[in-house]
Amino acid sequence: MTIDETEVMAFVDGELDAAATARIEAAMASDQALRGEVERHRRLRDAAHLAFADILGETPPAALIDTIKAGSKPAEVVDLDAVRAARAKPGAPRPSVARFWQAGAIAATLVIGVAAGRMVGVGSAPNASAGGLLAADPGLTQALGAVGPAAPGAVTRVGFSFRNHAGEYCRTFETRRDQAISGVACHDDQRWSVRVAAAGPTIPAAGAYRMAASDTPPAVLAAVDAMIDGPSLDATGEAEARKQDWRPRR
Amino acid sequence: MDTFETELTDLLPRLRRFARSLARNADDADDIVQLGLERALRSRERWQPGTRLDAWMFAIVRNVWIDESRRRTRHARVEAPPEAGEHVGTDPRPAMEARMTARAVEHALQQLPDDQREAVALVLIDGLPYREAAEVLGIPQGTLTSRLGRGRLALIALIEGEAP
Repeated sequence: MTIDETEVMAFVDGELDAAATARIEAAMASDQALRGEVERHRRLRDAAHLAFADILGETPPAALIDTIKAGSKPAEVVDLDAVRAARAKPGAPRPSVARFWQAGAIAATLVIGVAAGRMVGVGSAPNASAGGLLAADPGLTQALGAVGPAAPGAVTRVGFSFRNHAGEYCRTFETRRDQAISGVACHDDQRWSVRVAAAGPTIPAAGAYRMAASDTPPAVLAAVDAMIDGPSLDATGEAEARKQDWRPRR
Repeated sequence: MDTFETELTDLLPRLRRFARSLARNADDADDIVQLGLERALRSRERWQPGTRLDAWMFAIVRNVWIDESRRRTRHARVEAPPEAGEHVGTDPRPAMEARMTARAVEHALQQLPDDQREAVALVLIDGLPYREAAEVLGIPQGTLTSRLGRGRLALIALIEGEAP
């Protein structure tokens, strides 16, 4: 009687039916080599399980739990007055920063320094919401148009760029002046307009040069998912877009 | 939190473990889980109550891992050195042969091809039945057992080969 190694593994994994299990157990009684093989695979299974056992006892990072809690709310494309009110509350959960993925993930994530210029277009609007078209103010416009590194402590940071189904170039952004706002702005034939604005996450301390993909609030990412056509732009794509002043390629 | 979110929270330890067995270090693993959660919450209406949430979530986390790995390969600019095994504690079972230590297992696991590693992660580390593991990976059960078998033999060879 031969028992192949796949069957031994299935035996160790508890995947054999009663008859096959009994057959192997009977064979083991008289077959020392088989016993050794079973033992070897049991040890491996135990060791593999044990090697990652510690993590089960750890308390998961708060950021993960916060993500689940945040996900329970409806899409947070919000009234900006509410944002202003909420922002006054201390202890808002910090977003997790994707420490590593961001580095390679989005080739041209930039932090744009905006010396002056308030977020007039967004900040003064009582009800910025998806679908509403708000012209971006000069400060935001300047930030959205730029490509290249900027100083730390920037007011507005541009995230990633993509094209929407209408062929327009769009970019995610975060700005903090009166309030932290995240959103998506797209450029039509003439100008940038804010298509989506949402309560921004607490922006990481000055010195964070990048806006990580995961800094973008889920509501904005969901909006991007609905808008995006194809992958996000890499550095070359952004350079091309800028060359044509972010006007849609027809 | 509703039932979905509570169950998701309960799954976190296993999701983190799964991600850590796929990724190369603990920070990457939690980022994968984070992105997986965001993805799951956005598409929660696609999950059918009554089906296994763990298998559904494992599949999402795996997809994130694949996407991120590809993206990183494409933009292979900044890479942290792999520090596999850094987080691993010591083996609490003195009777176990020293060469099957947690560190040795994890180090060996990192050297497996991805398809074998994910099979090992699901069946040996998480303990999923073959049928569910095959579902997570979207492959026939025969393909799973074949990858699993090759992965196991490779692990044993690596561990025994590296023994001092």
